[in-house]
Amino acid sequence: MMDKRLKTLSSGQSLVEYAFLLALVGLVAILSLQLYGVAVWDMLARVTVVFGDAPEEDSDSVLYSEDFNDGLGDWVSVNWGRRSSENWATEGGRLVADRFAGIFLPGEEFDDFRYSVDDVDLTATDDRWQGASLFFRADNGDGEDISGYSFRIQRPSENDPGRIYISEWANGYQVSPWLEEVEAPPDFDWEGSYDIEVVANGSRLEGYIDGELVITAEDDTYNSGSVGLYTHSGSSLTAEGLEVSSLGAN
Amino acid sequence: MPLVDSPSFEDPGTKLDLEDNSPPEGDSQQAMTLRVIAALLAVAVVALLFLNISAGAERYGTITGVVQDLEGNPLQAEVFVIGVGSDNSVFPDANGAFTLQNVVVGDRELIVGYNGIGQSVRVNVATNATADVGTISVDTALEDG
Repeated sequence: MMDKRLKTLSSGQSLVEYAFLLALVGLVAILSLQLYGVAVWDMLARVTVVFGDAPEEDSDSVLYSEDFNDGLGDWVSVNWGRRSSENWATEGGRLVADRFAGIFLPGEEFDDFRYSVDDVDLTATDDRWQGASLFFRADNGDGEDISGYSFRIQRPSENDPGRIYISEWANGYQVSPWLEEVEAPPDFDWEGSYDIEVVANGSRLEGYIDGELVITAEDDTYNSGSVGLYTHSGSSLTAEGLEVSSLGAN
Repeated sequence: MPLVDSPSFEDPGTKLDLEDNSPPEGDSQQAMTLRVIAALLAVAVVALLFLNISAGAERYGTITGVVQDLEGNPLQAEVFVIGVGSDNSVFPDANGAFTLQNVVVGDRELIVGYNGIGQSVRVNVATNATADVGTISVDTALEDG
């Protein structure tokens, strides 16, 4: 009887040792992978996807929207560098901005998304620098200096051939050279109103006007951030509303 | 027959098993081997933990250079690095020379900012080393409207 008990105890102790050994092997594997920069949890997530049902991708879902029917809402006007105007307001449910002014949406963090500004109407105040820009993946810093990306539309004018570009910003400076620059579409009706949209998907950045892709750029400096909007020194702006939505399976 | 030779002294029913109850010699060796392996793995875990901590610790270097306009005049532009460890910025001295310290090592994007435009320069920073980007000529006519 005692021999049997001794043998049982001996077997149990071996099981404990084997379990301890397995745990140590697992720890060595995890720490080794981490040392080489492999994200272990990401790997596990991919493994579970292989063996399980792939998660359903969300269709485009609205992450944030503002129709400006009740004022500026969460948006704050800002001074960015030489942009000294704070003249943003709402009128009849439309966003109204003076020239050379910026607004920013604080407290939000979007990584991959679609950011659209609807029914934009630019009114020239000068013979150049007529346009507006969408800030995205942006950080407003201390309220004076912005970092992130901008999708900038510079429509043709008497002293400006018209350009569209995507650029990087750092501490309130627009970084030169721009990430990408193209000529403004020559046959586009700039006197009317149009929808401006930017899509950020990983390192790929896309700009759209009225649903048409007009520019793309690749950059991985900024992975997430909030959104903003600013007018250039040669025009004022009105817009119907803004929306940020996730990227669906489309 | 002497008493000690009597069969009653040898009682199979109460005979104690005097065989060695310790595990066979092979099992002892196996247990020792497992313990050695466990000890080695434990040492490996400690070593890897130390290496992970060391790899995560930030290391710093320095960037130097000179900033001037296209005519060769010293320029008071703001100089900083985008990204990790880039909370500090400096302005060049009267000769346009600048030294940017405590820059996290690696491939960095140095920005020379003037009049709303930031000129970008790529530089690789090594631990406790100084990377000299030379003379950066800034086009002061560039503007952002």
